[in-house]
Amino acid sequence: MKNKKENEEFRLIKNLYQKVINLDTNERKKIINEACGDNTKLLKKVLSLLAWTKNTYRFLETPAWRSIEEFRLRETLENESLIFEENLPFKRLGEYLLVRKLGKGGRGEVYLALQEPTRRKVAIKILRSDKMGSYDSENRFLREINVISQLQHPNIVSMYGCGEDNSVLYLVTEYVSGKNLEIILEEAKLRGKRISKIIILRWIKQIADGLKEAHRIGIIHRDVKPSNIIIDFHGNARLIDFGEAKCEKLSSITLTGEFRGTPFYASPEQVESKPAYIDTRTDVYSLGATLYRMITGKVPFTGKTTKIVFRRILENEPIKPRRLNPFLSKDIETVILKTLEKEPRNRYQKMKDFADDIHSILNNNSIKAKPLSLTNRIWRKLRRQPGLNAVLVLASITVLFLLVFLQQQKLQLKKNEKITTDANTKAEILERNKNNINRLLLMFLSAPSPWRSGKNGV
Amino acid sequence: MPTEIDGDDFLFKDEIDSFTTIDSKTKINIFSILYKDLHELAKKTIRNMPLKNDLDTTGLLHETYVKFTSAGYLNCRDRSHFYALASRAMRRILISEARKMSAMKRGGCKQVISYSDLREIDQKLDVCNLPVEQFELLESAIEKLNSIDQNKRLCQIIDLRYFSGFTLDETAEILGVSKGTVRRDWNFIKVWIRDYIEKQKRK
Repeated sequence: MKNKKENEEFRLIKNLYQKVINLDTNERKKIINEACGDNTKLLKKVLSLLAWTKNTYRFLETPAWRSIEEFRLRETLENESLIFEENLPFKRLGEYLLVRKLGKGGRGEVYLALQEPTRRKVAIKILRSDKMGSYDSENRFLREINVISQLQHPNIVSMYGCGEDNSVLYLVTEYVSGKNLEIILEEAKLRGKRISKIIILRWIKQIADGLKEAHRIGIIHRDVKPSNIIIDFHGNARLIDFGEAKCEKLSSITLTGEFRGTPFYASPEQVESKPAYIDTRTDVYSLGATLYRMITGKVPFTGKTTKIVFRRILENEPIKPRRLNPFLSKDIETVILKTLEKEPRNRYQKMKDFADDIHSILNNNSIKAKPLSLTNRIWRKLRRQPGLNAVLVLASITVLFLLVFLQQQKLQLKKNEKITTDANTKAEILERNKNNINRLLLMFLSAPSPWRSGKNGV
Repeated sequence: MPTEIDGDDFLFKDEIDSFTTIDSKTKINIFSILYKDLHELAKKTIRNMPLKNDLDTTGLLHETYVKFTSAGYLNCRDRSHFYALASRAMRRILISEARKMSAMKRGGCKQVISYSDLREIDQKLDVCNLPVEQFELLESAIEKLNSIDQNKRLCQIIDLRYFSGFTLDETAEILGVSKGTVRRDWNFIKVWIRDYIEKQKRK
């Protein structure tokens, strides 16, 4: 009996839901109210279902075995059999057993290691053998340890400890089992696929959150790029490698200013080697360049040599993201271009503002950044391109000269004309005078002589 | 011919009864073979599959179907019915695999970092893969759905779509209904299950 009632109820819910799902809000309301009457249970259920509709487009759309597959992958990688590599420089550092090499940075080498008492996997960074013993390198390494020890954020790899064994300095951090973003991007490119926009924005938002925290305590990463971001198996982005970081509180030790590493994500102020100008807005630029790469598949500026890339970073405008990926919204483009401004003062001033705008895009809210106005764009173009500028100035000067020249020509002409007219009148007057004189002479000549007119006259 | 029957097989008894073209004596045995075959095949594939290889569930079903028809167990007329039934077996298989996996996880003392705010984003953003830990909830949702849905089609759609990986078109063909109906029903099922699971989670 109860079963039958439930069946009937379910049928009602299903019919009502399918009837109203494609209607607009007002009509929907009307029909639901009509159909439910005072059946609040039905009303509640249908409204609850309708509320979930928006968030179930992708729910259950990937087949069940994918979940199992994902789980297996996660398990396998977490339980990766620990085969100890042979040719390691050390077998052990303190209480850590080195397992295998994970990668190589600018100054250090990173190894997967096992903390012996806990059997916990960790990542150990040591100075590269050729840099060992160098005062500068060791100083920097100590600084990195100092920097990272202050940081605590879910999107930044956390530090476990550090130590020295046989005069080898080492830094122990959490081992993030996951995939390097650079590799993810390369794989996507090879397969001709694009990573979903929402996922990209989520990762960028997470890294921005991490950097926000770092900036709050005065640490600037200075080397934000995809290969320094790891996506863990929960799908969260984590920032690694603070080897290039600058800490405002620590007296910055001899910053050579020379930029090393991948040039594609370097900001103009880094390219120009102006260490004094490097601040939080440098990270905004690099994260923006990373976002550009992820969303368009290309870095903002390319070139065969580092030098060319650097020149383009300083002089060129990036190709608009929407030209490379037409599915982008105007807002994303505006945000990206704002982060890639040459002048730090034109970028987002704080990582928080950038993170907020990304958050707004994710939630379909309006962003704070504004696209450049037309006059601004023209002005910028003029200022940015000295070549074009010179041509324009030259052209305008020529035109000016031409105008002046023409004016003068005109004046000259007028003057000449005036002279001619003057000459003409003179000749006329002369002619007239001549005639007059002639006439007078004739008059005189033809006048009756007083000597001959005596008889005729009186 | 396998004679022993697990508890699982009995759950399909009513389904098997509707296999009309096969003589009643062999009915139960045929289902036993079907389920066992499929289970063995799936288990083997799942366990031994190299990583990053897609488990081709529809492929498995096709394989079994070809085997069964060529052995003379089935007539071609039974095709739809076979797929509906085999998908149901597939659901059982995958859910039991998932259950084993999540039990393994719970048993092991793994450090799981929980980012409550990120989970929240996940929910807002429409999760992609259902975590294996939630398969138990999914199963109870399907059972509930089966008990209250009179014509039982909704559960078949889940089995075919979600557990066996058939497309909307294929599902419509197997069930002998229009694609529009399947799509509408599928959208409703998803919402209904999501609603059910979220409510259970809160409990």
